[in-house]
Amino acid sequence: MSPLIIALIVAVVLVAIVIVWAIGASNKLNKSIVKIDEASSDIDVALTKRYDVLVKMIETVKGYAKHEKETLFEVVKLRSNMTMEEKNEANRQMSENLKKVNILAESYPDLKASENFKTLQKSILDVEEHLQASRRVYNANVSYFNQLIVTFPISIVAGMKHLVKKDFFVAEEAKREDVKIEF
Amino acid sequence: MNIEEIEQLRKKAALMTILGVIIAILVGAGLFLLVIGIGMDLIQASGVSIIAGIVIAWLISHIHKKKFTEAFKEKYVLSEFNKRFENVKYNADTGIPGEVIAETRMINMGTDFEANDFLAAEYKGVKFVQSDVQIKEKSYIEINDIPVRVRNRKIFQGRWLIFDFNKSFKADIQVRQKRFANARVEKIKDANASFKKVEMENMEFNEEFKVFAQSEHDAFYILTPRMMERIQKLTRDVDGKLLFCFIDNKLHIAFNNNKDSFEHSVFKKINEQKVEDEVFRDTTVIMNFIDELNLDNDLFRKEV
Repeated sequence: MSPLIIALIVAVVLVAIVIVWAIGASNKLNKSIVKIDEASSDIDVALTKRYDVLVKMIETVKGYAKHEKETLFEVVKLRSNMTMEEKNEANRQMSENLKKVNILAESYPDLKASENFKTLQKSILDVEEHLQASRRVYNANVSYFNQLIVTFPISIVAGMKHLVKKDFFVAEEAKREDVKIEF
Repeated sequence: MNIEEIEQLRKKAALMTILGVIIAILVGAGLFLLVIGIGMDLIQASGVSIIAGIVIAWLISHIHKKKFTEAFKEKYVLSEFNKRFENVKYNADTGIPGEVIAETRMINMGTDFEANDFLAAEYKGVKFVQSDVQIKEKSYIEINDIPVRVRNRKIFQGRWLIFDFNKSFKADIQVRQKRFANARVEKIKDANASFKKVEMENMEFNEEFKVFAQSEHDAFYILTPRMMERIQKLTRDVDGKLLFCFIDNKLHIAFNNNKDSFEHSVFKKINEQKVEDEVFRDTTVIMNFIDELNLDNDLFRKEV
């Protein structure tokens, strides 16, 4: 076999190896994106559950505080296809509302002692545990993806697909200032 | 029964064990010569005489050993359990059934399963059961139609505990300390139920443990940062490698410490203080699991 043909065969094999590797790398990135999307859906489910329980708590509180003007609660908008930033904001608003609910409950001992309210408080704690789990799953997958796209040589394939780092779902920061409640 | 009476039982059991061995050797030797004389071959004759010897030794010593063990456990073990726990049910001769452990699909069940020192009780409102467990794998080959044991491998010897867990979850999760030999995750044919390896965000935890779960979400739900820290602390406090299985809203904890707890050799004089310390230590392990893992916290016990 002539040297030229050998060189050609070697070149073809090398190119084939690179192509196979590139396909594998691309699939790895795609799988990672799918996992992030799944984790993001999980967050949506947890946020919706939190919202539902919070609404029940607010209704319960309003039932006891009916002689006062309606307490001003921040309107939380939950809809499908929210960006991570929007989800972070919705989560923050729910946390604010929850704080207001708990502060109000302090003024109404009957409310605080009611079985219904206690059950809702337990529910919200469990919902928040699930939300934390969803957040951690999402962030773990995002961290893995972000590491993948900056690590050579997968970064080459990531660059070709125009992939960029994704945002984390942040934990709520502890607020030190008192929340203003308007009646 | 006081310590002197129990010591008497111990001495009798020790004596009968030695006597049993002597008689077994004599009978075995006699039987060996007899069966050789009637034409049986060497290997068959050895097999027959060894088996006969073991049976005789066991028959002679067993009943006395049992009396001693029962008295010892009632005085030192059951009394300690009654001091520490509520609603105590204890049986020294039985243990957690093998099927219960096999259902977790978390450990190789080998060929031989033994369990004893079954305890069902409550501590701080948390119900639990525990027992000593030994799992072995024996393999045999046949020589002239007689099975001859060629391998006797110990898969697990230690304690198995099952607690009511204080969170509701749907997926099975296994947390295995590295070098906990012979734990396994059985692949389930239904793809929806397959276990996947989960990497937690705590690097140190991942170095020490492998996590397998049917649901990544439930793994993160159960293994909060605090829970992981506490599991890491428990590995430093407990003698032996640990295996945690979260299954059917229960927490199984197995630790492989190569020890049959709550036992006392018939050949060792009873040092009461030492015995009490040892039983106290073995009992404290159960309390530590409940305290460290906060299993008495029922905040999350009800479904949302």
